[in-house]
Amino acid sequence: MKRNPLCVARTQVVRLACAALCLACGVPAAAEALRAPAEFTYDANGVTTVTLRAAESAVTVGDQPYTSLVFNGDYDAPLIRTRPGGVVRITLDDEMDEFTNLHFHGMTVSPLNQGDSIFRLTNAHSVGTYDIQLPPDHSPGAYWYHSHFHKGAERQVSGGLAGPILVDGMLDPFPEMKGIKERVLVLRSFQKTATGHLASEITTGAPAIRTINGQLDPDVSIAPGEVQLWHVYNVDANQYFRVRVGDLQMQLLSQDGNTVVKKVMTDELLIGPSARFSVLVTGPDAGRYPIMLGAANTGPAGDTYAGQRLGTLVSSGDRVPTKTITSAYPVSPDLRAVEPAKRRRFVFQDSATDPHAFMINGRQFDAGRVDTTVKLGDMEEWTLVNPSQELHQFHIHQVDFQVVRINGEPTDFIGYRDNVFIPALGSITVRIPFTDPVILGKFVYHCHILEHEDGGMMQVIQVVKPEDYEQAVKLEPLGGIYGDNQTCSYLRNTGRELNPSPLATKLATIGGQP
Amino acid sequence: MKTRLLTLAGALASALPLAAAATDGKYPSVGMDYGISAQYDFSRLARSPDTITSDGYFDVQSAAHVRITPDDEIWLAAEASPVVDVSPGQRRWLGGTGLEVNDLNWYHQGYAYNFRVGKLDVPFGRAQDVAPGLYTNGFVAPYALGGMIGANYEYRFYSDSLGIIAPSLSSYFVDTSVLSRAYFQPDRQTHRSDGGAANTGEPNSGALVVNWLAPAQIPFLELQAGYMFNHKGESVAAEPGSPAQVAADETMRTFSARYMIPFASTTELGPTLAGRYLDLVPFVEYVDVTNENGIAGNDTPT
Repeated sequence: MKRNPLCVARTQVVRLACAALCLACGVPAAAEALRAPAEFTYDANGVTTVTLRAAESAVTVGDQPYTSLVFNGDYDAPLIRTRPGGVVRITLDDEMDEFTNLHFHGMTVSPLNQGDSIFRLTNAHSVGTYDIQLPPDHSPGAYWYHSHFHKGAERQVSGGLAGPILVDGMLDPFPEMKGIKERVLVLRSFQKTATGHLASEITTGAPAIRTINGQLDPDVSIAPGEVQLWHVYNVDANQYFRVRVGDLQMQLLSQDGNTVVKKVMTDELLIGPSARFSVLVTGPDAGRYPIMLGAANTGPAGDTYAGQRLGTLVSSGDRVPTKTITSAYPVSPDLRAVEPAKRRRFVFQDSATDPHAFMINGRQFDAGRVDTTVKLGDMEEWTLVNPSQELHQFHIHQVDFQVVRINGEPTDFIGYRDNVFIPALGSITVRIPFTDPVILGKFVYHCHILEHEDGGMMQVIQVVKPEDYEQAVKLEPLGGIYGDNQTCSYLRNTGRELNPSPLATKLATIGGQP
Repeated sequence: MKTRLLTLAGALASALPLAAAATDGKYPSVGMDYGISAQYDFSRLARSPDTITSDGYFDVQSAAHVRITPDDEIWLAAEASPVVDVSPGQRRWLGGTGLEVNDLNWYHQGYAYNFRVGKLDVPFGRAQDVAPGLYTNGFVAPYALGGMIGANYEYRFYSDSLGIIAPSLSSYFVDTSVLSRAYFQPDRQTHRSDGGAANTGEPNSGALVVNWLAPAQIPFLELQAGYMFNHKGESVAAEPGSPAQVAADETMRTFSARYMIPFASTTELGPTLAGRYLDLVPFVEYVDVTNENGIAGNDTPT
C-alpha cells in the first residue's frame, strides 16, 4: 500500500488541530483536498497482491467517528489497480464475527475455482483467497469489489466492505490524451445512527453521510482548460446518485468499464447502484463549482434520498491548453445486427405481502438451484419487466450487455454496460453475448439495490458448452453441472482452450455504430 | 341478502419508517421495523338527524423478525391503534388506543413458496394493502382477518406467457390466548364466549385465494379471486342492531383488479429520480359477505 498509516495519523492530528484553531478564531475551516484512496498496484509481471482485512474498526466517516465493518481499518477502501492480462491475488482475512465474500463487479473473469464466485464464503475469523486472472483482451476501466454475502450484502457494503478496481489502459486508444490527470471518486452513503456503530439493519432513505473517498465535501482541484479523467464509482448498497458539477458539460468516456463508441456529452450523471462512469472534466474559468448530489426518488413505492453538496470543483491557476479526443473510438459490435439465439422474459417484482421479499419470475433466490442455462457462444435477448412502482437495477455477473429497448422503444447504442435501471412500471430489453469462454461456470443476475438482492431478487445462471446443454438443464433443480463451482472435475476446464464460437467470430467482424 | 362492498381506489396512507435494526450475518439474528401513520376517519350517515362520526388516531406498528436460518424467521408484530370502536355520533381523537400482538409466527421463504404458522393475518382481499386509507370498519374491516391462529401456504407458478399465478391456502381460528389481550385496555381480550365467526378453537375455518400477477401481454395487471369460509362460533357475537342472534357460518367471496397505467416518458431514469413520474392506478375490489361476523342474517340489504 502506498499510504503510510503513520503519516495519515499525523496528518489527521494536524488537520484536527488546524480545525480547532480556526474554530477558536471564528474562521470556517477550509475544505480538505480530495485524497486518493490507498492503492495496491501490479508488479512487473502484472500481478497485484492484495490483503484485505475485513474487521469491525473505528473509522472516520466524513467528519464523524463511527465503528463499522471496513477493509484494512479505513472507511475508504483501497484501490486495486491491474491491467488486461494481469492477475489479482487477494487474501481476504475475515476478522469479523460473520461470513463474508467478494465479488469482482463487472469483470469478465472465471467464476471457477479461486475466481469470482459468490457461492464461496469466507467464514468468520478465517481466511479466503481469490486468484483473479484477467484475459489479455479484458476491457480497461472502472470496476469494483464488494461483499456478496447473501442476506448480509446490503449491510456489509453499506458499512464499507466495498472498494474500487481500476484496469489500466482506458486512454490507450487516445494517445493525444496521455498524461492527463486521472482521479478516482468513490461515492458512498453511510446511514447515521445514534449509537456510533454501523446500523444493524439498513433503512433505505434514512439520513446518511454521503462522501467522496470517505471525505465530506472535499475540494477537487483543476486548472482552467485542464482536462482530467474522473472515474466515478457508486459503491453504495442502494442509493442512486444524481451528480452535477456546476453546470459543466462532461464527456462520457466509459460506463461500467466499457469505453463508449462515440462522443457523448452530459451535464448530469445518473449513477445507479453499482454503476461507474469515467468522464472527462475540463477546468472552467477560475472559481468554485459545487459538485451537487440531487435529491432522488425511486418511484411511488420506492425510496427518497436527500440532496447535498458532495464536494467542490476548484478551478485556479493559469489556463492550460485543453486536450481533446481526436482518435477514433474503439469499435464494439452492435448486437442489434445479430439475431438472438433465445429470447427470455424476467419479471422483477416486489412481494405484495412481505416488504422484505423480492422475486424474479415469482421465485426467490436459492443458491442450490439453477434458474437459467445458457449455451456458451449464444447471444440472448432478455426483456426485464418491472411491474412494481419502484426502480430495480439489473446486474449480471461475468458479462456485459447492450441495452436495445426501453419500454419497448429502440434506444441508441453508445457502448456496453453491466447494470441498468428497470423502469418502475416499465421494461428494458438487453442483448447479452455469452461468447467469452472464460465465463464458463455458474454465477448470478440480480437487482443491485442490495436491499432487494438480499430479499431474494436474484437468480442463478450456468453457462455451459453446447454439448452439455441438455444435461445441464436436467440438473438445474440440483444446482446444475457446476455444483458449487469448486468440487467438480469439469471445473478444471477454464474454457480458454476452446475455439471461438461462430458468434464470437462474427462479432469480431462487425462494428458498432459510429 | 348480502353485503356488497365496492371499494374504489384511493390509497391514502403515510408510513414513515422511524428506525430499524439488526442482522449480524450469523444466525439467529434480529431485525426490527417501525412504522407510524396518522389517520382520520370521517363518516356521515344521512339519517334524521344526520349522524357524523369521526375518529382521529395514530397507528403505530412495529415488527421484530428473528432470523433462524437464511430462509426461516420468527415474526413478532405489534400494533398500537384504537381497539375500542368509536360510537355512532362520537367525535374522538386519540381515544380507545390499545397495544395488540398481531403476529407471532414462523415464516419460511422458499424458492417458489412461503408459509407461516402461528398467529397471523389471513391474506384475503387487497384493499388493506393497496388502499390502506379504506381500511376502516365500514369497508375493509369485515374481511381483514387478523389475530388468527393457523397456517398459510402460498405457491407461485410462473410462465412467460401467463405470468405469476399464486394460490394461497389458509386454515385458522380466532386467537383467544393471552396474545389476544389489548394492553392499555385491560378489559379487552378475546374469549371463546365472545362468539363470532371462526371463534371455535379448532382450525376449521379456511380461505383460498388466487393471485394473478403480471401476465406477459398485460404486465401491470393484478387480479385476485378468493373464497373464505368461517365456521360459526360456539355462541353468537354481540352485534348491536343485528336482526337475529343466531350463530351461523360466515362465507365471503372476493374479486379485485388493479391495473397500473404509467406515463412511459415519466418512467425514464431522469424523470423518476427527479420525482416527476405519474401513474394511474385504478383498483376495484368486490366482496360478497354472508352472515357477517358469524351472525345469521347479518347482511346488508343490496
